[in-house]
Amino acid sequence: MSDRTLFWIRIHWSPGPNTRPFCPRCLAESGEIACGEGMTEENLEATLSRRVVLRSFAVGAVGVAFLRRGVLEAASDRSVSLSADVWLSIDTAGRVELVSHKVEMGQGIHEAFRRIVAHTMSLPPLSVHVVQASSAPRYGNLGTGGSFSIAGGHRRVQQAAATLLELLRRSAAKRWNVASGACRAADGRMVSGARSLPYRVLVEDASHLPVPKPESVPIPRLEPASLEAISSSKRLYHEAIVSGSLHYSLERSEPDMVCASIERSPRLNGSVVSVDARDAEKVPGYIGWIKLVGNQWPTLDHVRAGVAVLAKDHWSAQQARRQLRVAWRGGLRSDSESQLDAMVQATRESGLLARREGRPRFTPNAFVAEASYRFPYLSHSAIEPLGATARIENGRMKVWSGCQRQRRLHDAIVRELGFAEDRVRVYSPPIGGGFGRRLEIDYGLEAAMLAKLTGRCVQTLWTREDDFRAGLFRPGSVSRLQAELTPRGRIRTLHHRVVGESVLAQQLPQTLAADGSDWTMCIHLNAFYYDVPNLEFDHRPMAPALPCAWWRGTGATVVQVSTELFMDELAASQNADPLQFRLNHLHSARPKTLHIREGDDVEFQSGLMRRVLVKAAKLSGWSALAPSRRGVAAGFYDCPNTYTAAVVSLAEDSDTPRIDSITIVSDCGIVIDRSGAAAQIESNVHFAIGAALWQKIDVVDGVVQNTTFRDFRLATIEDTPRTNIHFLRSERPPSGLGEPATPVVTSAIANAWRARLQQPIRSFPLEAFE
Amino acid sequence: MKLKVNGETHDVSAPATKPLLWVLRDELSLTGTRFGCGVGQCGACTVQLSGEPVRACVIPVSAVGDREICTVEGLSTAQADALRAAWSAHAVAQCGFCQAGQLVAAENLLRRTPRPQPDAIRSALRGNLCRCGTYARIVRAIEDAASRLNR
Repeated sequence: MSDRTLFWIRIHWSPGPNTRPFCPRCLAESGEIACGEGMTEENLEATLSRRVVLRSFAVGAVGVAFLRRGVLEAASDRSVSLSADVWLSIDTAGRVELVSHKVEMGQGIHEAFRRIVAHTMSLPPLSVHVVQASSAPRYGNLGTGGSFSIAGGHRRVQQAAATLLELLRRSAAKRWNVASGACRAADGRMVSGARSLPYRVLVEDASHLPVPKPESVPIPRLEPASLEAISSSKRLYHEAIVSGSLHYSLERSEPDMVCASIERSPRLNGSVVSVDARDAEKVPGYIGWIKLVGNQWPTLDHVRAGVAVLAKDHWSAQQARRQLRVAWRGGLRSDSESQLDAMVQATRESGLLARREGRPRFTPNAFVAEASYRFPYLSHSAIEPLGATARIENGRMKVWSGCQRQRRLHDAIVRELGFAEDRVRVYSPPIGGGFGRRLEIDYGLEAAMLAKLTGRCVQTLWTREDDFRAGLFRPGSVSRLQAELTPRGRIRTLHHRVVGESVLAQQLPQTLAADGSDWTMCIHLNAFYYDVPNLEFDHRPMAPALPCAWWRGTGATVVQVSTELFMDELAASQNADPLQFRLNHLHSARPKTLHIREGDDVEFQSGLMRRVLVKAAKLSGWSALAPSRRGVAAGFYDCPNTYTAAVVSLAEDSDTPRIDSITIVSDCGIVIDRSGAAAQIESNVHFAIGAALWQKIDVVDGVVQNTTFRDFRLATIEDTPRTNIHFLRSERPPSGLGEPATPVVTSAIANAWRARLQQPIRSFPLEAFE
Repeated sequence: MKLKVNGETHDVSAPATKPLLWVLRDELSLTGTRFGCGVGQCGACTVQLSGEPVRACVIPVSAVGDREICTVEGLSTAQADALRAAWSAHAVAQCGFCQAGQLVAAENLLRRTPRPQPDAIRSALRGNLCRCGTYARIVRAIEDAASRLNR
């Protein structure tokens, strides 16, 4: 420990048992704040066992409980099952450091947290440093996903910052013998009248003060104006990015490291019959090969059977792997088109109820409009390839890998490889694009297995082909909708059935309801936002056939898109303007309560949805756009509570769908980082363009056919439309933007193409649809 | 063999068929050049050979000869400085993984075409994929850098 005094604050939330992982609404407002001296991410490991925890207390469900000396680690071990922690510290040199419980993968969360701390503590943002939490138990069940990081994290980060500031304020008040209310924070200093001191001078005294109770700490409002004022400062990581010096997973370099390239079974659950390495051995740099047995899919944390080729560098490993001859046996022969055909069939059968309202039986002999939509399997295809570095040192497993769920990888290593809980650490460097793929941990577990099998430090690197061939995909799904309209053209009754591959059925079947219901498929049905009196929504998870994972907007990219396409078809059937038709179904004056899942209700305001739609129409010049090439869509993301509308205008002369311009209006509560927030929407736009127009994973006879970006086309700079993004001014707490625009933009593109074709859309991608 | 990289000559020993990308990363620790697809389709490994952008993942090191190699770490022209400043001003990067390749390609463009039209920018960078979708800002940043240089 250096001679600098370091004072830290730890905010620890303990949510109830029935929680959605990382969902801010599910994370109950109960928790504890602890503080102490002498912590940094690097030295904490070594110092914690002998360090004394000075003061700490707990509030809420756990009641007031003083932790005894030195039991912090044990205490947090007991309560980590579903929690996420924030650590914030200041030292006597004035360095403020946030240990982020969320990983950075381009979404700008570290920058946003830095701004919240800076804003709350009246500091210049550049003086706030952000480091990434490891998988150590004290950081809780780390996870970054679901667009939850700002919605769930901002208040915790703010509370930690406000508490730290309050201690500095009380320290100053004591020193000057004034009331703490007479001291105010300004630019990293405490000020009272003519007196002022920098925070660093107050740290030592502050560390001897009792920690204030959370309710006694004033948390300053997040003021959009002052948040704007700090938005021009240099963004975290940017300098390293433009100089090429940012270290992602592959830049981890360990002294005795060997590199591995893994030839995996082309089919799920295939196994190795024989390996002929005679030609591989001739490749310079080749070290050896080793068999990975893998586990049987479906299962949590599936690892495919494979043969890892070890070499002194990645290129040699890839070359030797190419010379390796492996004979495979068995494996699943699933086929993506047959699986989607089976889903179409299943939409004709019964479903498991998600939501029923009013009297959803259709009037006998009434005309019932009907549509079904087919959604292919999709790959995440981040540009950074998957991979990890693992080493065992004194019986401790260390893994470095960009990972959206470090605790999941940590737990899998404990469970699958027999390491004790406290002998595993997962460190996540910045990620070169996540999109849900790195919520899975197969790439990390493989590296850990290889380290254990070989006793060496091993770094794995997936090729692009591996990323497709052993991919985990956005669930292929089929939606079927039926509606009966009133004579005035309002929807009287709406049925929606979604049938699809189920991530839960594949990975956590024990979390399905007794009747087989998958709540993750139901939540977007339950978040249906239009005013329709009679509803019947149900779903059917398919028996696992092809490996799936969360993908930017997973369920919403099926359910919301189907809803929005159907709204357009119904409007067209009435010769109604699709925008006006939507507004006609958003007339509730009062907020509605949407019952998302058991114990989880959310407030929906039709007025906000109307506002984003009307604003998008105005900004895009909706009424002046040619009806034959314009499309509109809306979307409500229940958690975080984000309202989005988009208007797309297609290029005039095009026989294939080409987007000329797009307008997106979002109400995501208070915007913390405007540039970063807009970047998230721009990113959603490109994700949506690829998914709407071209992308589709084909699996034939159990083997993924896509192998390169030629057969899984990503949007390029030439596909970028003119984009206009607008945030509505809001007083609501900040919500999230990682996913909500993806389904909305996908829908608006498809609706514009429907208008152009003058015939309904039935499947994606649009370019393959005739 | 000798390689001229970022203004310095290095003696490297590598198999003749080893791609330039891996020689840069393994032998010279120039890791700003990224491996993205390995088949020249994504542009994350873009470097300049005699000032022209190429895909380092598909160029055998033996094919380089005595041509000057310039990686993101060595980009130091006035154009590069202007681009870096514009990249920061427009907060272009998200995850950042493809950005070295984007900058290397953009620097070449600005040296060839001091005042590129948006179409020329799009055409020059169409082979550089970005899954985060930073393209609109890339176009704006290049236009901005060009106008700074022409001021």
